[in-house]
Amino acid sequence: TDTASAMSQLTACAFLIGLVIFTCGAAADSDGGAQLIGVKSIANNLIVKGMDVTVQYDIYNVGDKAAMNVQLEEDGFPIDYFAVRSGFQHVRWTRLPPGANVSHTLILTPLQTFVFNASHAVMRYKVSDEATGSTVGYTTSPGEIAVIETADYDRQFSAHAMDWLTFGMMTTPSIIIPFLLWYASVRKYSNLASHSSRKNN
Amino acid sequence: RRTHSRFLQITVQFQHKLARVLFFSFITSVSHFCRLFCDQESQASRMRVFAVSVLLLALLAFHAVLAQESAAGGASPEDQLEEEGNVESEGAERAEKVPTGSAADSGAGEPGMASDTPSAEQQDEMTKLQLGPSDKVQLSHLFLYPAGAGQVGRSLDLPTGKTIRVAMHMRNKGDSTFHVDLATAAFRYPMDMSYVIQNFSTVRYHGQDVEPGREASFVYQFNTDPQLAARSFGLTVQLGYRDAEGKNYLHSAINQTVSLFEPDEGFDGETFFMYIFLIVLAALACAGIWYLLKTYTPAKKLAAKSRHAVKSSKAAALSADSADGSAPNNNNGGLSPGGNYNLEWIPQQHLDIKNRRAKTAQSPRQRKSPTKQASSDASD
Repeated sequence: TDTASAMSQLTACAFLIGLVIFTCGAAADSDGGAQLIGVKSIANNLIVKGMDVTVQYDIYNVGDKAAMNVQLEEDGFPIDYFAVRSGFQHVRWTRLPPGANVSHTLILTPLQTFVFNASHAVMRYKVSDEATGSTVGYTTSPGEIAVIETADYDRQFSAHAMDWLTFGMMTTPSIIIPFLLWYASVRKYSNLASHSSRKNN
Repeated sequence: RRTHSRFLQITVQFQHKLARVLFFSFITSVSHFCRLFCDQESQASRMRVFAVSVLLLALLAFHAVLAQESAAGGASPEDQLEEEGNVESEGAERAEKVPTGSAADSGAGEPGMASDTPSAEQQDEMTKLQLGPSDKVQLSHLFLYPAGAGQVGRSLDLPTGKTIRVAMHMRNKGDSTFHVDLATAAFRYPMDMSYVIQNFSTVRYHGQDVEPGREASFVYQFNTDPQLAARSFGLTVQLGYRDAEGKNYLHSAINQTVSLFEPDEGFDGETFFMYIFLIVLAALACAGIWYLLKTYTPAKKLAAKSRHAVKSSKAAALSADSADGSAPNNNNGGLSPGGNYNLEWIPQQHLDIKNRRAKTAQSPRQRKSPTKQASSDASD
């Protein structure tokens, strides 16, 4: 009976331990660390050669702990296709608390007219203070963007001042000539009327 | 299609009963008419009864035949539907999945990918596929619009008529690369998540690689229809990916009940123009009341009466051809008899009513001068 009771106690303990491990394992599914979601989006409706393109990065921490040493690396815009007007392509934040988010903007100017595949940027961060290595994450990709010619953009959106001036000049004759004819006749008959009224009076 | 099949079932059952009823009525009417026919005395009345009975019987027979035909035709789909889990392809409208709890074809992890009616072979394939999640991948999500939806302590409420944006985060905990292909979403019946109410478009990610130990984010957006007002749905947002061997997975990032609400717009054109309409109606009513008051106040009533009296006196003077009284005696201080207008500035020839030219007067072109004509009239 001693051994039997000991065995039963042992099995009970083993069962309890197993349960604890199992629950720990299940809980460890969420890892308990920081999770960063990176959203990369292009704010422009139209991307025109020679005009600014605004690329916006939003990083959200949906995990339980603060992300440490968050780095955003954007190497997806080659130097001979895009000129950087404002913003940095390599950014670093020391700490991103859970539930918080940060934004970063990069302004570029396309130098050529082409169809470009905007790929993802890379984030590196440590999931918690005591983590050893960095976690690498990819932001979202905006996809294919088409850079259009400046002339196409202007055709649609510019003020067309020169076009209006030319139009004005071309339509002036068909307005001025009838006006002059009318004016001449009005003057002639009003002169006549004033002469005749003076005569009568 | 589901409602169509139900309707078909119901109509088929009804037609069975109808056929039975018609058959019995047919028999009874035959016997009745026979008796009636025999009871008739004269030939004419017998003929009349015969004609009427033939017509009625023809009608009944025709209807009975029709009922029988449709009943026979409808029997096969009815039998098909009633068999458990049997979805033979009898044609596009007959092969349907009955959404019961024990639907044989949908496995436990079966997503609502069948938006069209699948054939038998496709259904078998999908049962074999059993697309589910991979345990090497961990997903989490975040609503970008509306921001903060579904977080801890807040229920997931989505506005109708808006673009909902959700970001999904995928962590590769395995040791081989995953290739993310697509994301899709659906509104389902909250009590039975295998019944799809609305499928949303699939967004392709073109096989984005996620190496072992790395993470990736994906954005998915969909539009809620503005007519889906104030209902609760089961929302599923799924990420489709494949592993290095090419095995496909479909992993739910979101699989929960959402309730839709109608967002409160700041400016409602309908309400604005309704207010304008009401204001105009009120103004119109006020104008009408003012007009009525103006017409029917006591001071105005006397003036109206006097105007009426002046008109009648003038008419009387016109009709009478009296040589009496050149000018009216009632000078009234230079005013008209009713006191409405000043008579002094009117030339006398217009006030002398008896000097008015009669209808047989000449046209102004023919008379020499107005005064000469008046004197000639006065002499007549």
